[in-house]
Amino acid sequence: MDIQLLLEIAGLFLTLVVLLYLIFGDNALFRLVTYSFIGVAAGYVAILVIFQVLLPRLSILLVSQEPVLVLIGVVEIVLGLMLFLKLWQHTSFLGALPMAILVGVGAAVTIGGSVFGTLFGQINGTIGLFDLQKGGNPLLRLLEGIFVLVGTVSTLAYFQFTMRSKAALPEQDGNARRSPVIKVLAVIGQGFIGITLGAMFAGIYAAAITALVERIGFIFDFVSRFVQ
Amino acid sequence: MRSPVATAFAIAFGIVALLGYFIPADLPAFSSLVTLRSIIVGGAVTLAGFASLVAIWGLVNAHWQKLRARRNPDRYSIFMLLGFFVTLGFGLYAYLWNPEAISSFQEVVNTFQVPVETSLMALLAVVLTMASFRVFQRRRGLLPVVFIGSSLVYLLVNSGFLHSQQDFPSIAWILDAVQYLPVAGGRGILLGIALGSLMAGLRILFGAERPYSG
Amino acid sequence: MRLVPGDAQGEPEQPGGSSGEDWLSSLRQEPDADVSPGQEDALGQAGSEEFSESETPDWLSRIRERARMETGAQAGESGAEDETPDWMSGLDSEPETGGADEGAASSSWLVEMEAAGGQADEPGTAPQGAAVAPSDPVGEEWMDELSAWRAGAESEPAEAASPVPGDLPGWLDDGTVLGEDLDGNLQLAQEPPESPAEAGSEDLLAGFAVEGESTVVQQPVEPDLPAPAEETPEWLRDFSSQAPAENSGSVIPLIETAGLEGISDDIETGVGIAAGELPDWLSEEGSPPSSGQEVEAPGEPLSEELARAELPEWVKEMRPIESVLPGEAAAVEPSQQVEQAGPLAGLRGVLPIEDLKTHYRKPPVYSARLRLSEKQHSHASMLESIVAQEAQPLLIPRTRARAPQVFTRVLVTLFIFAVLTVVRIFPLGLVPGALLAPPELDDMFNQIEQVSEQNAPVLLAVDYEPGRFGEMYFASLPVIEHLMAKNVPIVVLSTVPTGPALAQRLLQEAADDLREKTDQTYDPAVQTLNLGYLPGGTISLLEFAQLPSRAAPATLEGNFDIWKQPFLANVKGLDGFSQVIVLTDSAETGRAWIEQVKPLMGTAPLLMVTSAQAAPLLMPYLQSQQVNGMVSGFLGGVTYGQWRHVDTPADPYWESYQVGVLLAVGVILFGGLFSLARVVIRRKDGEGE
Repeated sequence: MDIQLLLEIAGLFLTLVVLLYLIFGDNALFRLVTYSFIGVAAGYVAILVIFQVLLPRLSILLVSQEPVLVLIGVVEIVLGLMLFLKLWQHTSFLGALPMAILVGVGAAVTIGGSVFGTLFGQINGTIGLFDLQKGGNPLLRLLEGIFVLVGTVSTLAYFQFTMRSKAALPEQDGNARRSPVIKVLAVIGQGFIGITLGAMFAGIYAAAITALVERIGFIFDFVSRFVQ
Repeated sequence: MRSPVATAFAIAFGIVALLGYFIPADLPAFSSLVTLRSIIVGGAVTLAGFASLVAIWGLVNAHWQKLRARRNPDRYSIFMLLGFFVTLGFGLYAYLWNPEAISSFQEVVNTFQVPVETSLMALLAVVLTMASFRVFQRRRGLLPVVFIGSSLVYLLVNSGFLHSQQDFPSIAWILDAVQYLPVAGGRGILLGIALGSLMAGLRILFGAERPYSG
Repeated sequence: MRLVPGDAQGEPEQPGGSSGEDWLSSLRQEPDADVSPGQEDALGQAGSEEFSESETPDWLSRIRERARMETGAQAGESGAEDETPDWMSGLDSEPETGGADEGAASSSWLVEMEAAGGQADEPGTAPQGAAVAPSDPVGEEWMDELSAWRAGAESEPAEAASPVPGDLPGWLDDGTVLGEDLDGNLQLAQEPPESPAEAGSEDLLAGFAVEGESTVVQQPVEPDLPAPAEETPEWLRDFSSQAPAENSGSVIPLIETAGLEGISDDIETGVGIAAGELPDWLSEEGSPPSSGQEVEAPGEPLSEELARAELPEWVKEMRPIESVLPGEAAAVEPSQQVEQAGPLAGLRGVLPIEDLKTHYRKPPVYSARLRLSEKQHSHASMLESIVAQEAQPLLIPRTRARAPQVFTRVLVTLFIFAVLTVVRIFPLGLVPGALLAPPELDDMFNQIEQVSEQNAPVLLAVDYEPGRFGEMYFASLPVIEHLMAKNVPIVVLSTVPTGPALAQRLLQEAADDLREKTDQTYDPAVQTLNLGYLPGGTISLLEFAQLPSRAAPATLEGNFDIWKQPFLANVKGLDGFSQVIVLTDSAETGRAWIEQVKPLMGTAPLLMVTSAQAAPLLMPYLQSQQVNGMVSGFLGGVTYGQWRHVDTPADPYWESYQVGVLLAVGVILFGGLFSLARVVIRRKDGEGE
């Protein structure tokens, strides 16, 4: 039998088993497939990490002629093996060191990316909307800039969960007090957030429908091929 | 302080990595720092690879324990272990002894992963349909109303129905305006995420938060 | 010496004149001949100084004589107010004297008494208000007791010092002597007649008997502490002068504060009244001591317990705290305790006895009011509200039966599947016409149009999960085909583990589709390079942006030396790529590329193919020109194909997709109308009810 056909049959079987969850609910076949899926994914990632990441990266360092690079490679191996010590309770403290390096570097990268990628970029983008020389209708461009600015500020105001201690005294209804300006902005921000989240929900819905359509198409194509 | 050495390492390595954003890479005066930073970042990537293996080890071990549990053993874990070791064996065979089989290995994995995950995504369509029917019964207030209204509008936009109505006057302008609406709210959300990430990162670099010491 | 009667206010119903009459009457009566043998024995054993008829004291004889003369006539007049002696009248006129006010109204003797500050635990407490000459050594001890009492009863001094003679309480009527309800603080006693102090006392009592006839005089007297007559205060001398001369030498029974038990013994030993001559009030108490009673040591005066008297309320309130403590033995001096059993039986004070009374104190009184700060009060209120909520029974939501839910789910599933399948089998003719393209798609198209075979390779990041393969496949395939149509070398990498395999499939299917449509050949094995997986997310992206050869040293197939191959030879950094195209289903991943990679890309454009879900959050980057072009979702892929004037793999699915999305719109609208109708019906039902 053709390997390709075999793989298609396997794909069809897996598709039907999962989709039939809607009819039969949680059943043994569904569990079998999902458990196997987890195992396959884990095995694939393990192979990929070993042969695609660790071996190439470490081998380049270890086989190099520079002692510094070899030392770096050895240190990376030692630290990496120390991570495994986190699996056991008695030795988990030894795994804290490489984990700390990972977390510290990750935090630094996150800070740098947030500041230079998003904060500066988005603030510059908002300011750029008010550059009326850029072309187009200046009035429309100004309105566009005001709209985006109000939406941005009000959305941030809606997410303002900290306030001065004096204002933090609970009201009678248990809600923390906000200044009237922030209250108005928060209400406006609710509208903008609702629009954005609604667009995202519509996107998820559309993606799910696309997946369903694709699976139905796959079944239809497979069956029609045999019918013909 | 718990794990003072680890905390010191986290802060030191983090600061070096952070300095790289502020120092031009082409300045000779800071070439050592730039080199050190690249070594640190490269080491962190390697450690991330090891961390992935640790996570997989933990997952396999957990299923092994569930399978061997005396009370209510999870018999289905055998399928997880089976899938894992078969895939691992196939991968080892392909990468160690038969590199020609690597592409087949990728294809087999795709054959298994794509149908399952896509079908799970397809289930979401039915679930969302059922949930959408009751969405008005459960939600009240400004935000839910705007959310549902926005969902309807953007579903209609995503359907492409409006995009094909070119005879309708100003449809292009309307579509542009509608598609531009989420930008304002999205920018606010992005700035909020960035500020939150900034604060979380700074707390780690200041040693106020030590998720690695647990 | 005097015994202050009870509080007049305490027993208002009793006529004042009659209160002290009976016992005086009994004094006037002849001694009862029918004294019981027991009494006789007891009294007979009392001592050598027995009373006999012939030895009746003058004062008693005189009383009896006078009683005979006044038979019947004086009975009702004896307690009259006009017969109150002068000293009592004086007290009446100064009701506030002796008060614990420590005011100026206190008489001098009372001031002296207060100054004495006697010990409360001294046995033989004197009655309240008893006036004793300060210099009288006989009265010092009980005066000290009195002071202690007064200290404990500061609120009632006036009542104690200003009795109403006409309102004598019942205990006086009964002929008993005040004291037993004082828990042993007040007792009768008899003193040896030889005591010089008693001469004065007798005179005083004689005066009472003659003129007052309504009071009982009680005096604690220490036999070994003679009181010189010259030390008698003036007011006592007045009493003495008023007393008849014949009474001066008589012996009177005095009340001693020597303990509760053995009052009759005291009488016997101290006075030696003959059993047959005992008045009724004494003979009633003269019952033989029970086996449990203390046995007096030989030579020691025996005591006989008197009947308990009714203690007036005001006296109770004036008692020291110790007096209300349990145990009458507290009134007994521990050193004088008589052993009752064992070889020491009958001996007094040979063994020290711990005074248990001192171990008992009135429990301290704590205020029930808590002092709370405002914060504590608010916290307490919150806790109270939480607890109150917990106490409220939970409203268990009505659970619907599982069968209808399953039925609904199955029905909806079958309906959706049927609709989409029918549309797939029998096309409705909704072939996408000329679709309006959003500006970002136009930008994307133009950017890809600018690259050529001679340019540097394009970096294609396949960063989506297999679950999004359907959508991302339809969205990205036209873009990849566009690149392949231009014979642009493509370098693939992924930060998602499953990305490299998906990229392989995507590239292969795009090449196959391109070949089917245009007969153009694009060999992915030659013209593409799969750099595989980059672990670590944003960290690996940063590393790749800085030093791609270090971040991805080998291909997916494990080939090294890739960076020396022709189309990667000139790539030292990200600026070595002509474009970077990111295929992602996640706004987070797209953001990571924008934040870490875009700043190091130089002039190379960053383009994105995203899912419809991620697009709203990536649009701001597009507006800020951090992203230079974008295609999103199924619709974007179809639209991009139209712009290229080629069929796309998404076309056969177009109708199903469009119907599916419109079905979703319809479901939401129908659900909304259904909910609205339910609300209206419920309101109408509510109004109807």
